Amino acid sequence: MSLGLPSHLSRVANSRALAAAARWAALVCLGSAFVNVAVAGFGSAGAYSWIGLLVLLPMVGLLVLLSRGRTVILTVAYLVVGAFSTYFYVLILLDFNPGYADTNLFVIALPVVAMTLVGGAGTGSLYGILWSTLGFALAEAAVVLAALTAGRAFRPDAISLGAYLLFVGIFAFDGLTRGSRSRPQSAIHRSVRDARLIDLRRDVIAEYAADLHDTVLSDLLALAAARPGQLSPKLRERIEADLLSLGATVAGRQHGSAGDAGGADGAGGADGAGAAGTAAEPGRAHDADWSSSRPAWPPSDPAWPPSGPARQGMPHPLGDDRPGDAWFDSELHQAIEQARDEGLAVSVSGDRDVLATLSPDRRRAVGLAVRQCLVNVVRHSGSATAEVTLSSSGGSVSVMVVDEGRGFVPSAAASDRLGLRQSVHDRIERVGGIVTVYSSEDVGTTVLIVVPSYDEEAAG
Amino acid sequence: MTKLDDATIVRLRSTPFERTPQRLDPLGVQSAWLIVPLLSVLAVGYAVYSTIQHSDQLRDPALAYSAIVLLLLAGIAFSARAHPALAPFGRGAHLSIMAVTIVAALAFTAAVWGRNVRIQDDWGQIAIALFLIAMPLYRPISEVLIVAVVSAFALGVSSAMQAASLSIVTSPVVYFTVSATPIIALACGGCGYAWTMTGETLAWRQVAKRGQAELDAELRETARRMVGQEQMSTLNEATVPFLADLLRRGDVTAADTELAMELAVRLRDGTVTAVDRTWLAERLAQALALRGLDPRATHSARMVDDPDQLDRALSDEQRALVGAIIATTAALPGLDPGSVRIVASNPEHPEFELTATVAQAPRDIRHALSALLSSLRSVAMDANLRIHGQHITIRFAYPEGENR
Repeated sequence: MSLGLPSHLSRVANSRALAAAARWAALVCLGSAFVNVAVAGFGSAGAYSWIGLLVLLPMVGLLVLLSRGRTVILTVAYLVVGAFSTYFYVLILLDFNPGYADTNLFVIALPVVAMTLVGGAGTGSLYGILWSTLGFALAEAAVVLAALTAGRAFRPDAISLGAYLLFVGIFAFDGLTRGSRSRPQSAIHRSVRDARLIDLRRDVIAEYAADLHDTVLSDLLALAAARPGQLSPKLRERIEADLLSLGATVAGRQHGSAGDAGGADGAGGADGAGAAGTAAEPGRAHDADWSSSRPAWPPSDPAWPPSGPARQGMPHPLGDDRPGDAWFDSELHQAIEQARDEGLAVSVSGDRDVLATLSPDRRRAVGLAVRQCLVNVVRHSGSATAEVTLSSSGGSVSVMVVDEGRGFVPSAAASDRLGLRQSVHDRIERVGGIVTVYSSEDVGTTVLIVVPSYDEEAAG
Repeated sequence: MTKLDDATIVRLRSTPFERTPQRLDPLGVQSAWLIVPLLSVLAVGYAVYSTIQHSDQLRDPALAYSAIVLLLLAGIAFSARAHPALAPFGRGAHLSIMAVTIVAALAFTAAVWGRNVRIQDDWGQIAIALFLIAMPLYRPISEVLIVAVVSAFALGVSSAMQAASLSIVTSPVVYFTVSATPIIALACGGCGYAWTMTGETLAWRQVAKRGQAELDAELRETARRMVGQEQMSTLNEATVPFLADLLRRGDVTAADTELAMELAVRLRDGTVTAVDRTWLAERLAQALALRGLDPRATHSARMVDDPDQLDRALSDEQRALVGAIIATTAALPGLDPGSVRIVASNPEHPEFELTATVAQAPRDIRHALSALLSSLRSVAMDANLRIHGQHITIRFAYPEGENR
């Protein structure tokens, strides 16, 4: 669910919508012109009246073609054919109606307006105004020629001029008001995610409550019912197991789901519940690291547990060394969240914990580089989605940013693509990494960032 | 007072869906609002100019001036009623504004009846067309097209009936088209814009929905991390140190059993409270956490009073907007985070009132919140903001009657 279009998509959508508006209005004008020429030729004998009926059809045909997909060739064809159609249409009207003393007539303005409206063919504000002006000028030239041919006076009509000014005004308004929605729009995009997070959080709270009830709470109640004296071996064993299990559950859930999040259901973390040993799953370096860094249980230090100020800053049996922090605290995560706030649907795949194998400066460089890549997707690609994939191999970490929007030729990048060179290439090269850009206009863009990990640095 | 039941939730959420930019892209329409007063000024300006041009053709000048006044009133009503502060712009507003405009146009026609030289420089069809070009931003295109056809027919027939007395001798059909075409063309233009824009928005929604589904796994992970950390913090405060000490000592004392019972009760109460917590309470805690307020403090201070869980009546869209309003309020620089309260009441027509103390210029507060409040009104809720000194009250509620 999302309310409204994100700003970066609304620009393109607005152009398309203005193009549709122009075509719908132009078709009505041509339809009305058709009625007028039919009425003018009604009762006249000969082929001339039939020509009058047919003269606007090529224009209508090209307008329909333009609505299916705008190209410069089609637009030019519409203007050229439209100019000829307008010329013949005006000539026929003037010939059939002796009462039409000059060209300042609504019926003559109809194809002129239809020509002017070609400016809306999905080109953006500035080009729209230029195309409109060209259409208006060509149509007026055709009217002048027709008036000369028919021997009538040319007088510019206020209607087509008014339509032209109205249309240009709408384009200018569109250009001026674009992008004024971004702040509340970002708040809504973030809120949509937060609302879902709360729903999921409530599920997790219920799940954790059940676990807590079966473990620590049950232990406390058993202790409350116990008689003073030596702790029974059975209860002792249970408390030890539950504390271990609880620590592993919390950690295992974070771990398990961190890995699963890139996969299908993300619920795999729950599988780790209740078994201390599951915290260290095979193939997950961070799990092994976390297990080895946890304090031994029960603690061998006789001063355990410390109390009062002495407790502050000391490790705890359940551990404060939370795995997954490298991802959640990373600039990369922030970059992705920022792009999502702007309405870009960013999916993340791969093992996000590979970030933990990067030094802080490399992690930061990768995050900021990806931020720039996503900004480029928002600004230039016209794509509603992007994908960020993380992986590691051979002592390096790879982050790939992929979109399926409008690509570009990397060697011919415009000056506004400076961000790609400075914020991506230079930044990554400074920390010993490399960037490869694959892009084509039809397929989209892939930016591959590879940086050495800690392991390689240590080996080097 | 009855509690909120499932039937009421279904009834409240079953508001009729209108495919309009106002409904689907409220922020976009808000940013385009200025076009309405601009078009109104253009229409009235042209009417004045046209009336002056027709000064020697006026049969009844008073009627002609009255027509301008009527058009002016319609323009003012359109501009005011379409303003984001009064969203949504409903069918009643549409029909009454257009009815007044058509009457104004026909009044001008009557004022020049029999002495009119040309139809094409009359202002009636132009004024109606200028209003109709903006109308599809707010109303469904079927409704706009019906109004366009009716007004085009009315103006067209009145023009055709004047054919005999006009300066250029031609078929009445031609005069019909002279009046009807601008109305139909500009209405169709506006409808084409709205149809394409809403189509693009609906297509984006599908993309967003897929993106949201793909995000679920990541959000679930975040949720687990948050809850895990909160649970760790809670247990680490007293329970784990107590159990660790007990294991080290190996003896249970009478004080231990008492403390164990006390901790068990505290833990159980905390867990029950957490499970029963409402969406609104979670949302507020989440928003205020960014201001450094511990979520547990937010919950224990009972900042949200929603005993009947009326927030269940909010649709996904409404939740998104209410959430954005709460987050934006929580982010106001002058906010006293401890002063925020939300009270929910009236299960039949749930209403929510957020109050807070904000030491900030009222203009800044309105600027931050007005777009979101207007959007909330566009998705079938009443919403308003009141500021008295440093005390702000944001009220959002399901409307008592039919939505306008």
